[in-house]
Amino acid sequence: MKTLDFSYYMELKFDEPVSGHHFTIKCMPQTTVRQRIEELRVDVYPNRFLSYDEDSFGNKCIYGHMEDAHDHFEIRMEGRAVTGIAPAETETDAVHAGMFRYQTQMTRPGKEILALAKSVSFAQEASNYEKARLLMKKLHENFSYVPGVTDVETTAEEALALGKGVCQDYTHIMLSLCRIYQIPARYAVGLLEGEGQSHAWAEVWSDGGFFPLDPTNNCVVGDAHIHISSGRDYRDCMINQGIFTGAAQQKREIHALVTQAEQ
Amino acid sequence: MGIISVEHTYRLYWLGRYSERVYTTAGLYAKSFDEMLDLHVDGYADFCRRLDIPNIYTSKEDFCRRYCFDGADENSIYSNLLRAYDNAVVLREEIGSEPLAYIQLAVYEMNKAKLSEAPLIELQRVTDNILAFWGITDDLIESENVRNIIKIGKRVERIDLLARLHMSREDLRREACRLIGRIDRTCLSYHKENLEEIGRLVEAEEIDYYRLVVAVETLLED
Amino acid sequence: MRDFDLYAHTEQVNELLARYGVKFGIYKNNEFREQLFPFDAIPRVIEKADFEYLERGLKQRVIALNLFIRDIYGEKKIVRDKVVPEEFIYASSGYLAQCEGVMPPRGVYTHIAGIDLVQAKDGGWYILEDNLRVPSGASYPVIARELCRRSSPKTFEDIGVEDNRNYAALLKWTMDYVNTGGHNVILTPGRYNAAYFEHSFLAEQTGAHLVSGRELTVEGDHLYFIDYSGRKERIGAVYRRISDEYLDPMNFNKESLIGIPHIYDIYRKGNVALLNAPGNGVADDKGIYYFVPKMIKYYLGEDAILNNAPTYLPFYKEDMDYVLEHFDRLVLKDVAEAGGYGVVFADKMTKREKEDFLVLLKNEPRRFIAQEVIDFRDIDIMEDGERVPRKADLRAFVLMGEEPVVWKSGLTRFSRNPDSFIVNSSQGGGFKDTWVLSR
Repeated sequence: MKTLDFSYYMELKFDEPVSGHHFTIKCMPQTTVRQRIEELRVDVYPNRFLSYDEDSFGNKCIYGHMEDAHDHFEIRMEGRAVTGIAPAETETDAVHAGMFRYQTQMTRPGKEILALAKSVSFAQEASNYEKARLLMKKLHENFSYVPGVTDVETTAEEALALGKGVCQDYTHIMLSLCRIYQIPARYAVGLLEGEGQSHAWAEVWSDGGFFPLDPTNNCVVGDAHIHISSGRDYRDCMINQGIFTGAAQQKREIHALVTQAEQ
Repeated sequence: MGIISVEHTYRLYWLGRYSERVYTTAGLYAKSFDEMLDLHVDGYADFCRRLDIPNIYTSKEDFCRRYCFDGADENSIYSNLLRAYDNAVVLREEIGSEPLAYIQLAVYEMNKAKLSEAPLIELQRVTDNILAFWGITDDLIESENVRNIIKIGKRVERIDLLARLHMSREDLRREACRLIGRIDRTCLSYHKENLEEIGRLVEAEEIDYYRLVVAVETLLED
Repeated sequence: MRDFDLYAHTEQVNELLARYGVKFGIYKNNEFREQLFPFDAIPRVIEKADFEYLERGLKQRVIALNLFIRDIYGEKKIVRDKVVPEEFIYASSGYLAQCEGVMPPRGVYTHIAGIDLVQAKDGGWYILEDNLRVPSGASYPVIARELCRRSSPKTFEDIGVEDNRNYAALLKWTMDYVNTGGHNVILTPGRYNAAYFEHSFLAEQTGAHLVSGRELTVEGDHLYFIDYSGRKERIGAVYRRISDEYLDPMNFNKESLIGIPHIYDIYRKGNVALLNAPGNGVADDKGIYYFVPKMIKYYLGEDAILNNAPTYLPFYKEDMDYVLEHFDRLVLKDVAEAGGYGVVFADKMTKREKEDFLVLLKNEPRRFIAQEVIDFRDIDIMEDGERVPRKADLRAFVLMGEEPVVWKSGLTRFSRNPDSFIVNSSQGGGFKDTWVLSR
């Protein structure tokens, strides 16, 4: 268990003013079985019309819009979390967990992923969790962390064919591999101690709970991660999603900071 | 629900304009067609110049066919009728199925006229349907605003055409009067200074036709 | 049945239909064209007793389908109890995870259901498919009836046909029932949609405003229509004629230009009704069709009154064996396709096509259903002054308020090609009025 202070800041700068801007933000960590959020402050600009909601995966959302012209957009979030309280998020309902057993457009395997999946063998009585650990190890051996070669639209199969990518790609491939073996697996977004941006990892359903595994770092998620949202893939967990009118180019700046709180 | 969007107010206005354009240019075309039979065989060049449309026609026959019936000629009567239809078809709720049917019938009649040896006979049916459309909109549409927007479109188009054709001051004064008296009975936003200018221009000794066309074309606010 | 003088008026009625712009749009070579929907004046006549039977069966079916959708996006008891396998839900393209845990106003999902049936030679009725997303077509028999009564008044004097011109009133009743406060509107993707005529006709008839996505806006937690003066009018019910994926770019397809950003968020909060509810596709999938009689039993404890066409699910081994053994006499349907596409008759396949298909079937058994070919009872149409028999189906409309109401008419579509079973208007078919006798 750790007590972590966290902050997340995102700014979009438009090179010319935009209008009719609609946005949905999923950036707020919540108290769960694994973590306790002790403090949380969120500011959004523009904030003329803001509303709060919870999506079908239980993620907290802020949505809103700004009709008038504006040239920047920002989210500022900070707080304190106690992490690593339990090893897994409880989910005893197999039928509900089953929703995460099926491939999405982002995770649908092609021949690269199928071949990688086939190259792993399990003991007959292995649990989902044990299988997932082996799949993660295999993935880690066959994929390198290289930023800038993939983007948010890259699918799991495309990424594996390239052999390199970032945490989003690791996670999509991991989900694809698990789902090939009928293991329900979720995409998770959050913050990580020592990481300057948001991070993504997988949550694998086994023995009545979703166990978080971080394929980018080939490790079991312990108390260094703060969970923000979960879904079937990246698209369910986008921290900021928006549409606007105007041909503006946008520049994005993100700062995340997670440090151990002083006692 | 008795309320109307900005988009639909514009569509009503343009329905008025295009229906008027079809009606008036069909009349002018019929007159020229007759003259070109034997009296003034190359009259189409003059026709284009007066209406301020490009003379893209290669012969009398070409003009008679394309100016009236060619959907690919953007100045043709047919193209203008289709624009009237395009506006009308999304206004069923505002104007009603019965009035809309007359615009639809005008399109059918135009398609028949296209195939005819004596197109003026069939063209008469097109203009009959436009007249019926105007009559029924006046009779059937409950909303005064909707009725008047269509009429404002008609008046604006009529003044525009009359000015291009350098018609008499009397004709223009009559139309301007109808426009000025009615526009405030609609929800249209327009430039007051343009309306005043139109009023002044039609009263002048020598009518400045060019400025009059500009004033009516830019009457509405964007 | 006596000969009606109505038949003599077919041409006249078609002319009137043209006059009122009764058309559907179609894209050919990327160009939009409007086509008339050919009308045949010989009605499909359903006897009073026969219709009462259909009515009972249709109500039962729609009640069960509505309960099914509520269950799927809620407790999922039917999956837990292993009546419907999980993969037929979660792997279905009609299942929308975004609908999990969302209860629509008054719990109604299937506001307007279009159930397609056929009558077999022996007189029995079979369900062909359920359309629970945006079923279209009710406007055609309404306007055809109006025009037939005009062109052949004598016919209607003592025949005792239920008046079907109450469709708009039923639709309004359905919208009013779920309205959360404010106006009713009909949301159209625009005039280049195949069913635009119907959208505008129903708007005129119901008094609901016909709107496009850009005329509506979500502000705070409510939906508004903005008029020419900038005044906002609250909207309480949206009869949307656009599909789920285009409804809201913030929650579904983000490329959608015809949707309304955040409309789904306020729907989730119960602040607007959407007719039909998003996510209904999970229940009208051709794969789920197989399970409808089972769900009627499961939810209502009753046997299904109306039969499905005998259907096999290659997903189950015993059904696969049956399909392989009797392949040549079956019709195969791709569960992901609609509108008459993805339907193949095994006896029409070449040897090569059959081989390829069997490979596909064995690789993706969940993707197909197989059905016995029903021997349709043909209906006569007039062609060049003669009566000739043609295949026809019936789309019955069930509207849901406090309880379901079956509209006493329906859209009868026929195939103009004597060899074809496909009656869809997009594939060149025509339509008939459907008469329900009142005595």
